[in-house]
Amino acid sequence: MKAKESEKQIDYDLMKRIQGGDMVAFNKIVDRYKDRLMNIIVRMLRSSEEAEDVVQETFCRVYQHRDSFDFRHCFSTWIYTIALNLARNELRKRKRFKFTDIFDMQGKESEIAVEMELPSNLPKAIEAALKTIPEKYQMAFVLRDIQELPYEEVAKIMNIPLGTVKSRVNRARAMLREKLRPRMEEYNALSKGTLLPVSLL
Amino acid sequence: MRCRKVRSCLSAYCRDELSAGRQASVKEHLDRCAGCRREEAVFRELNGSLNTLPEYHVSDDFNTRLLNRIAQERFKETRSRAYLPKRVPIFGWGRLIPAMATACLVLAFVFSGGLGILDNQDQPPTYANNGQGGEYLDDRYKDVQPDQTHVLIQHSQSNWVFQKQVAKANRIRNLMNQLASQSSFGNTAQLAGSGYNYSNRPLIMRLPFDRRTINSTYTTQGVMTAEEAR
Repeated sequence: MKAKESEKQIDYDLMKRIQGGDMVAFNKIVDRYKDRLMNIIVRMLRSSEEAEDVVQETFCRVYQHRDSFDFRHCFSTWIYTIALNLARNELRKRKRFKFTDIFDMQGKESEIAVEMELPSNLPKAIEAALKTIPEKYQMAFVLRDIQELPYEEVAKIMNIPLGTVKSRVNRARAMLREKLRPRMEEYNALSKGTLLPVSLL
Repeated sequence: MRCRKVRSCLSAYCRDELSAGRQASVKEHLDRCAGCRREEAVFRELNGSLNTLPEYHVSDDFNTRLLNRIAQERFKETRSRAYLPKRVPIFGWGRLIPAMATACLVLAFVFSGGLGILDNQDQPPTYANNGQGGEYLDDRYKDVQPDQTHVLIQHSQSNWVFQKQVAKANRIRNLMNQLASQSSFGNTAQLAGSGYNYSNRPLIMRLPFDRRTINSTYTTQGVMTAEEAR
């Protein structure tokens, strides 16, 4: 808790300096949040190039509207909100102009290949399963379980009630559990020694 | 608690997100139920795997590109505000008032006779034949003679063209007076009889830079002051 408070204070101090025109402070804010935002946006947009564009646009908006930042609110909530709104806009644009090309087919092939891999590649299995659950559950899960943001902050970022956030996170975990059930059971069996890997047979 | 209820909150239990009472109830059930314990193990494994998920990073030149973009946007913003003139609407008062003022000036100029520029062309005095073998000064020359100049001078304060005419008239008058004084000049009587008295004619001049009205009387002896002329 104390660590969170100190993080908040650091963000406030940097924002004050940015409002005064200090570009060094702005650079520090960028270094603090660029990878965190990238982690979330990549998992939403499923493209690292587009995610980087969205992250860059986020920081541009932060700089443009630096004077309108309200110090009563949390800076991290503010920047995450901007980033997620931009990512949502990008997804809406994609839905309007949907292209099907060979790269989509290649993506599907890699998904199938992941499922055929050994259970030791669980992180990749989780990533693949995450892409298949609906966006609202995915976003709540990524913010809470991967980014480890508190429920209250997730509720402010997504602009939904606290109970709805908890419900969506719970549903996302259950969906992932169902999708990964066969792989998890196989993994557990391997780790306990009840199931030998195919290569050793 | 039943297995269905316990399994619905197992993920929260594994993350210690339940209240103390609920947490104890679930723990009590797990002690008795092997199936729920297996589910708990799966959830704990899943939570542990989340820490091993790959982390995504931006490119190495991200900061540089971002700062360049911000600098460009600031430059555009500064340039548009500082260097481009404020747009004046085509039909706005900013353009209408000067246009109307210019039109009024032009109309005033036209109706005032163009300050007399087009009038009274610089015509040299002409000498006409009186039919008796002599010449006399054309009456038309009177139009630019000093006896009628006071009317024009009053209405044209800085008419340098007219002043030039007046000067020329004065020179000719002086010349005529000189010729008249010389007895060898045969036509002086005719010249004198032209009906125009070249001497002692008041000349009212109004200097453009001096608002005082100067009354000068020119005679063959020279210029007389106003007091002397009285």
